[in-house]
Amino acid sequence: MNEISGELLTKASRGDMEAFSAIYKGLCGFVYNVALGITQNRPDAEEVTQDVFVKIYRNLNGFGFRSSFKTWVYRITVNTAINKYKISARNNKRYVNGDEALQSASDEGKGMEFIDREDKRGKLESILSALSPDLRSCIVLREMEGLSYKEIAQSLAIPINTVRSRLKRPREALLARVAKGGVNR
Amino acid sequence: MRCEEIRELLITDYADGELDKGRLESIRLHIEGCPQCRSLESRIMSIRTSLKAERQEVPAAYIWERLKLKIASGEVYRVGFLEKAGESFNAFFLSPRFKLARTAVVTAAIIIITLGVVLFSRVESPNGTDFYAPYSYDAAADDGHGFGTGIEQYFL
Repeated sequence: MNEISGELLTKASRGDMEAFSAIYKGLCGFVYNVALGITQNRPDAEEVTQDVFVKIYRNLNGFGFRSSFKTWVYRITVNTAINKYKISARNNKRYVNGDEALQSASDEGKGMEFIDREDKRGKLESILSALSPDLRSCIVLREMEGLSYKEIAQSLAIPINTVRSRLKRPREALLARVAKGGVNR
Repeated sequence: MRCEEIRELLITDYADGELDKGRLESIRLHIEGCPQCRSLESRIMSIRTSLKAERQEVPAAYIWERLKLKIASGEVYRVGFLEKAGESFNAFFLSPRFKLARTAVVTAAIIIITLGVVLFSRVESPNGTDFYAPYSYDAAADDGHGFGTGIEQYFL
């Protein structure tokens, strides 16, 4: 995520649209891609992106602290995306228990069936789509956005050990899949 | 370090560059002499490369256009009660500005809950004295063996 200056935040919080536009340009890529990684769906990711920026615009006054701004945006993005995913999944009745899905995705036979049914965008991504949104948000923040354990822990308000275990489980599932030849590298 | 510990770290801290210099060095030394751990290291790094190669997409331009319209029309400020309450809650629990107030609220909540539990668990007896966890004797249910369990009775 690009650094956003305190001056820009102050200007935007006073209603300066040019400053808010600069904030949008600096953050929209991160927000959209995290949302896409979690929701696994473009229309939902677009809606999440818009909602996140509406929340940022509405609450900028209370967040003039540059150090916490990044963490705040991370957290709003992840929470909004997880909520959106859960609502969509409930409506589409495709929400799956994270552990069960992880187990089935790492299992040869069931995994392939799950992958064929659920996703056509590649096997690796299919396994990611089988994760619960909590696990997926950790993987997305770490692998795709490059956040450190500390930053992920702060963003999701969870202990560092939880971050570690949330990263470990999907990786073990992927390793098992690679060992069985299910994922072509 | 044993292979099991090394493997645990390879999947997490090592792969993510979260190890200090000393531990990193000892893992590297171990990997050099252990084919199994070396193979795991190569597999985990390969998976990480695949995950990193996931595309980074550019959001559509119309998202900003819609956002601008929402702001211009004042629609951004029209929020439901629950959403507003949620945002206020998040702002309070995230902003460093309210660190002291947050601690005070949490401490007060713990005290109130503890007092509530203590006060409501007290039961007043008919003669006015307080006592805890009342026990009433039921003659009909008394089998003459007191409070003992079957096994205690067996050893008597």
